[in-house]
Amino acid sequence: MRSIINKTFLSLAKISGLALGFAVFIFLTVKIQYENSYDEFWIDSEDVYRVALDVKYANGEEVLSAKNFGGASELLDLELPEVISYCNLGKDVVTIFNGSKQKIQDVNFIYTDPTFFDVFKRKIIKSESTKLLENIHGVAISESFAKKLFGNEDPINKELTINEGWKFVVDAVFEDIPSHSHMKVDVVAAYKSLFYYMQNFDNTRQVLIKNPNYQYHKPDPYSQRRWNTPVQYRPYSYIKLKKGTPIQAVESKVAGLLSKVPLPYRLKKGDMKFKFQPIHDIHLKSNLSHEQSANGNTKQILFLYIIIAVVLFVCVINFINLNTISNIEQLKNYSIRIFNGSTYWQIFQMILAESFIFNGIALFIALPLAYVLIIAELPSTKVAPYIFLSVVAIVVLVSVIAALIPFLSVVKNGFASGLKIGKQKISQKWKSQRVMVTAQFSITIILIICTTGIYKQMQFMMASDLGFNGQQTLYSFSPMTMNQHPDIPNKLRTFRNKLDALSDVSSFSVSSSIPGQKVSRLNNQIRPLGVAEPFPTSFSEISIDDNYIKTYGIHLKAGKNLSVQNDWISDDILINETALPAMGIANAVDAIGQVITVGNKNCTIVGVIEDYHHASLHTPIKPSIYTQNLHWNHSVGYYSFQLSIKDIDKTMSQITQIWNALYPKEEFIYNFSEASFATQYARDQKFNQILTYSACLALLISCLGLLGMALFNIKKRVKEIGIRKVSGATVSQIIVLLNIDFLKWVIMAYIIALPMSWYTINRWLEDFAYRTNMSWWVYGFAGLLAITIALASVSWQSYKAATNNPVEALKEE
Amino acid sequence: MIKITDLEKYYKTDELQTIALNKLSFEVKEGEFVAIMGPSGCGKSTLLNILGMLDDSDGGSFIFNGEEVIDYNERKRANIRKHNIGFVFQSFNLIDQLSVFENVELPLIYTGVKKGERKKRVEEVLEKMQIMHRRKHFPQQLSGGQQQRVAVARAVVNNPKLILADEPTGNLDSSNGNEVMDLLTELNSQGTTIVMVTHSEHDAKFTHRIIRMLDGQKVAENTLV
Repeated sequence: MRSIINKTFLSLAKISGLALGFAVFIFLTVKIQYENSYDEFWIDSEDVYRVALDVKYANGEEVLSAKNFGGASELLDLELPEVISYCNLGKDVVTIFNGSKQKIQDVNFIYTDPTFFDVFKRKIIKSESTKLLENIHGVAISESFAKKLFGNEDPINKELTINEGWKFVVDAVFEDIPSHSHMKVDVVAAYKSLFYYMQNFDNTRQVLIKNPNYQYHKPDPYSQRRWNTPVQYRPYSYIKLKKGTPIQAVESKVAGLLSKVPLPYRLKKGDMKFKFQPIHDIHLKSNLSHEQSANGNTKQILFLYIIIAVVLFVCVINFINLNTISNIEQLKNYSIRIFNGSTYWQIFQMILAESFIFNGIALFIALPLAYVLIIAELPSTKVAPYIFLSVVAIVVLVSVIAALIPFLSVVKNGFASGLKIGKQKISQKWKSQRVMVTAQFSITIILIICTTGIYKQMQFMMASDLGFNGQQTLYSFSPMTMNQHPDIPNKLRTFRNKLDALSDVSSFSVSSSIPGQKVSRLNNQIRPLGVAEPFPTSFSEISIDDNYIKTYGIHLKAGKNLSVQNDWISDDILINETALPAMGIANAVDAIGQVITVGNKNCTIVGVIEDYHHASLHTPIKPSIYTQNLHWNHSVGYYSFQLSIKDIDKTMSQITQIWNALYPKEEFIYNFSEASFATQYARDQKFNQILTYSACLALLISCLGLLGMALFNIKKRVKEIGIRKVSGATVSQIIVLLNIDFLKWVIMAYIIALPMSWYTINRWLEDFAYRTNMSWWVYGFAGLLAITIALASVSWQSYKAATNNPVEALKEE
Repeated sequence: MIKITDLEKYYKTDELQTIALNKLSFEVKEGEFVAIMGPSGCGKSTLLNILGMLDDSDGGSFIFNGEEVIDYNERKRANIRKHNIGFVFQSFNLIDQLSVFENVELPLIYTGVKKGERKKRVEEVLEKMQIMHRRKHFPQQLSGGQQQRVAVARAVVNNPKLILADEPTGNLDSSNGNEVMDLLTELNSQGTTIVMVTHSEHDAKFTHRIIRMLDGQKVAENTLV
């Protein structure tokens, strides 16, 4: 303990480096635990599978979809004794009103079978009936959503209204589904209710007509209807197997089962399979089309592991290094003890005890630090006991290694010589420390290059010409209360006319999607006129109006824009450039006037627009068609406003007034289109943040290590410096001499880091369809930064040594 | 060559002030070989450091080669030092990481002598000191006498006008000690002024004059020649 206090700087450098390393280790391990634990909390989670669809059509198109036909899970349930329960699940993102004008947007609303809670068991906190999801007007809502919607009031039997105007009562409140699930669910309703409301809701009067004769027919998987739903209406299918049933037992029977159902022609001609995905694998291992939401991936987990290893390595090396240095300084002390009867084992115990004390203090500091990080970033995560155990194991391991290395090095050096040689002979003995500091710096430089590279890619994505202009453009959801309402065109016309009167709104557009938002409709049924076989690719289908390309500054390549339609419906369409080869059209001009069949409607291509990025630069631009059709089939639409002035608040308050007058039941909530587009990179930014912090940390710790080495090195060379000064060396000559010594290692580290970082950053960039090139300056910058910081941290020590009175130095023996 | 008048030097700690040099005055002429003697702590080494411009004084005058240097800054002093003064220490003060050749070469590097010239001059002086055959060895591979010869070689390689020697035989046995003293005498006979701090009456006999000190003051002076 005394030696810890005596050498304050060295002790601080050792403890702070280790503490930071431990804190990062704990935090990132908990983060990995969190990512790995998706959907493991369900009871019998290992027996629950999602049934995904894998179809190879005869024309070569392959669809690997997270969604499946409704008949899939029903058929498996009926035919196979191994399947004990199943459910289909259709997801919608809706806006919900609680009776007053107040609304909650982006609510995860699912329609499902009454067996949902058999497959996905949740504690029912409050319930009105014993049979959940049997009441046509009833829904079950999550505990947190109940609180959000009704505050502290009892939610049972309270009414809620969804955007279509459909009113439900709360039948039950279930325990929240934790955030580490691939399913986000706020409200659960039965398919039975969906069909009832679709048949019996009068959109004109916004009332539900009572139909006492309504009979719900359980879907029949043996009818062809269950196997020809377009992809946007298909559900996610889940099955639950008898405990311990191997999935192969089910897989092997699928082909036989499918032969029992009257599959439509296209499926029959193709090769259709089911892909059974264990639910806890979905988050990290599934990246199919139509996932419920963007999943994580194993590559990022791997990167996290690498970061943990790297940071821990840097910290531990730093500790071992500094510990070795301080122990070499103690050589004389140990020698005296040996001469006075101490054994080697007792000396080792001394070093080990000190090492344990350092590790203990570091852990003591790291725990609250990690706790704060976990609370901020991963709230509600329970830290698994194995993490605590691994931390303890690491502390023990580091303590022992950090004691063993200096012990062996002093043993090798010879205790007996400790008295004689003082500090002089040690110089040859600490090559290993130099190697370690070089390794530390290599890693640091790799981290700096990767961080800069990722930052550059972020900048590239932000600054890329996306092919559209989202500046000064705001958007809102289209009024939810108007969905399916026959009055939509009238009200929309009034809204548009009033906006036209506002001089500061340069353009207003209505569309089914906007850049940065999901395209809910993928159409694989587009075919040339008079041909039965569709094009082999699926197309994004976005419904827009005549103002869309103006609002988003999208350029026409050939032909003309869509024309104004009184009711927003026409047979004219636009396509993007990428759609041309997909349709087998040689160039944009040739496309104009061609007629294609979209579903069962013949549409004329009137214009070709230049490609723009509707989605993030992670994905390539998809072939797309732009129709004009206000009926978006229940999905959410967008209103976009391009403003011509900077005083956005004033204009938006005018728009809010217009909105309130027309859609009094609904609040006007708007956002910036650019910001919405940028949220697609939130995950990348988060990752970059972790990397940046790690790089800074590694740099800091490496510098601490370097500083410790500098102190030791200078102390060791005090006499030499004195002699050189006496021989006529100037202060600057001494500083250069000392600094070059460190510079050598940093440059060596840089040379080692170059190829490794080149490889790493290129692997990471593979994830982006559109990527920046890694210019030489990124590598140059990292090297320069490392060298500058290394020099800055040692120069002060060098200066102090160089200006010391040489008389003092020469007195030192 | 050296004229000091009323030279003062104090060492201060938190509680007390120790007087190392107390109004010390004397002169050393060019070509002289002077021994400074006195008990431990009498200020001999302090004096030598001030003469070597390695340390500041706290008062008095110090004229070196007709130039008042007492107020010179570190750069000016370093400049005079490297062109005019060579040092020999009791503990040799060689750099362990450098070979014999490199140790001797050091002052020439700092005075900006070209490489070819350096080689010539180092070899000349090593030859003279009879350690040419050891030029590639490192200090730890040499005997004490050999190490001190290297140190003397380093001190004279720049042809300094003045050599300051601090107990040059203190770490040597008598035969090695005599060798070093012969070397110094020879250098002196070739015109180099030498000021030597010593405890040894035997060594002092090699010089022209002995200045005896006590408590920072000159108490006696004996001329031997």
